[in-house]
Amino acid sequence: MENFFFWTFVLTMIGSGIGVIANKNPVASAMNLVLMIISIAGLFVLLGAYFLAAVQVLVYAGAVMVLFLFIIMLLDLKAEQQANFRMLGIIGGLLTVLLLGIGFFLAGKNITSLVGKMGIVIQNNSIKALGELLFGNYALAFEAVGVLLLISMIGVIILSKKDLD
Amino acid sequence: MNALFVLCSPECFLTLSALFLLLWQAIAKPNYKSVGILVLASYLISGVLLLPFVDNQGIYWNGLYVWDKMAVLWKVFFLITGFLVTYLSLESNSLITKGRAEFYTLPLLTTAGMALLASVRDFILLFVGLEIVTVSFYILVAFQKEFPSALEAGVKYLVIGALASSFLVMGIAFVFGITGSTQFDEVARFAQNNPVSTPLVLGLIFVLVGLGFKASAVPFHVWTPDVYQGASTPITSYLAVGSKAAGFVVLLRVLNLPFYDQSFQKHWIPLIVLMALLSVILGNLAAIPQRNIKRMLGYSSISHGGFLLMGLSAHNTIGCAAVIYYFFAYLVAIFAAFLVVILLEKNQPSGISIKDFNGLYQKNGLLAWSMAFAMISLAGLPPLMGFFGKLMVFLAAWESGQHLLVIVGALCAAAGLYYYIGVVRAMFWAEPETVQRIVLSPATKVLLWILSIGSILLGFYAEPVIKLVGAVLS
Repeated sequence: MENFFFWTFVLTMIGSGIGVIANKNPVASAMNLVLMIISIAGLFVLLGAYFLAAVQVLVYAGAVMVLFLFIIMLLDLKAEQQANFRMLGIIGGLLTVLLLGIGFFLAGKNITSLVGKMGIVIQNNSIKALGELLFGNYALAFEAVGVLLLISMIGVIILSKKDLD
Repeated sequence: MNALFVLCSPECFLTLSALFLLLWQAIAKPNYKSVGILVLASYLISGVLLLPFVDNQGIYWNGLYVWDKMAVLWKVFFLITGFLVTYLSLESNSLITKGRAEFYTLPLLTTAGMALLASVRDFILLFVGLEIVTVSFYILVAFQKEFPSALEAGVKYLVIGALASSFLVMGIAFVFGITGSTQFDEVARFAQNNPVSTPLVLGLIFVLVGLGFKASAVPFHVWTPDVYQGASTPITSYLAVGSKAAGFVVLLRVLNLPFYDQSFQKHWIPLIVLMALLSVILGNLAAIPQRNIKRMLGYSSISHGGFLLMGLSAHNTIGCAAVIYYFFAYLVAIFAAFLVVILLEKNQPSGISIKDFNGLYQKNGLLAWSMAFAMISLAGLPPLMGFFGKLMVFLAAWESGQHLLVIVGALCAAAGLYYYIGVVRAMFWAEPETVQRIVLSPATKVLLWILSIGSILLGFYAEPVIKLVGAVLS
């Protein structure tokens, strides 16, 4: 049963991933991306990381992608639909996929050690454990993320506001 | 770890002063110039606050954060960088027309991020710190949004930067997946006790790709010339010194602790050597035909990245000391060069080409001499600082057996003379179109004097400085 779900999610993920780059219509690309994010969430569920799965759907599929679609529809990207794929881009992309694929394949041979270590992490993967890590062990990194968010907020205001003084 | 220590560390102090300045300018709407001067003051105060803690040593924040001599040295480096960037921004205020107060305040947060990177000891904090630096640079590069070239540079930097970040995160994920920890000491301990497996090597390669982007090493350099040209000049100097140094301080930390083990070294040394080799060749050769000075300095910065990587490839204390000394030489020369570029840009905001340096000596002697010292130091001619930087890097690489790399490096450095001396030739021997004296403010004069004399004196007396750096590292 788990195997069946795993392969369903993985194949949906790869298929919709290809859909994102192969579609010329930006809205269709975005919808494919939503599908991909949901299948990643499915993989998280299979791993027992329920909180991550929920956040994945809420934040990415819910908030970020809605914003994406909103902007795509506002921009009315007609020119994008007529643009052709460049040969160089396709070759470069395929080459990258090939190289990364070889790398991941070689890495995947040692997958047993990966699973062993991941198991330990997942056992603690309740929201409580996550919160304890964020505010305990990684408190400094958490504060730094706060500064990072502040910077991006200032940036958005600067770059989008018309009458900056 | 006491509260005073936390408050006095540059990252915390700079963040707090940036918050204060942001609120102050939102509420009181002060003159933008006073904001700039307060930013300068914050860097100075932060430097003074460092003094009582110079001798501190230890690992804090549950192993995320290390405070040692090297961290202090790099924090000082970043504070100087930030100070000079803000001075250059104040000097070029006629070019930035909108949001000037934010333009001065944002680099405070960037410098805080860089200071954080100087004492990083955990991959998670490394990623967050690097993102703080990179994200604020996206904004600073695209700041002059009324110019299409700045927006283009910003978008290019954003897209390639995001790609590099994703590689970095993927690498960190692999390292974490195998070793079960993101803390540097734990990773190093794992590597000592276990064989290094393929996924771990893949993680190492991905981390190097992500950091290679920050260090603008070939083949991760494609963004450099366009972004250097499109960004406003103070930000270009910040990218050339600050952003590159941030990449290298992380490389120094990562290669000397979690990836220090012999079994790792046999994987990363060839990669670093390859990156260094390509960077010095491409950087120096591609800079020769450039006419725009910022583009030329962009390619020159790629080649300097190559020389610095040469120091890293030596994987010993001399190499690391050479990298740090080289960076100080680079800072002095780059800021002198960009200060001159900014002063010339005031009369010609469309961009400065080599031709615009024609007869600068007749317009203002001090400017011409400062630029000449900067160029000669960057080219690596004795007796300036840049020469000893290059010499030490070469020595370190030669001692560790990278003979081919040193020979190619020396040849490329010789080829690089051509374009650096081209600027000097234009300033002293070419006839200007118009002889119009350039008037400098007293503060700028003093700064140019300090930078020029610094590059000579620290070149002549390189030995004590290098000894100091060596003592810091050991």
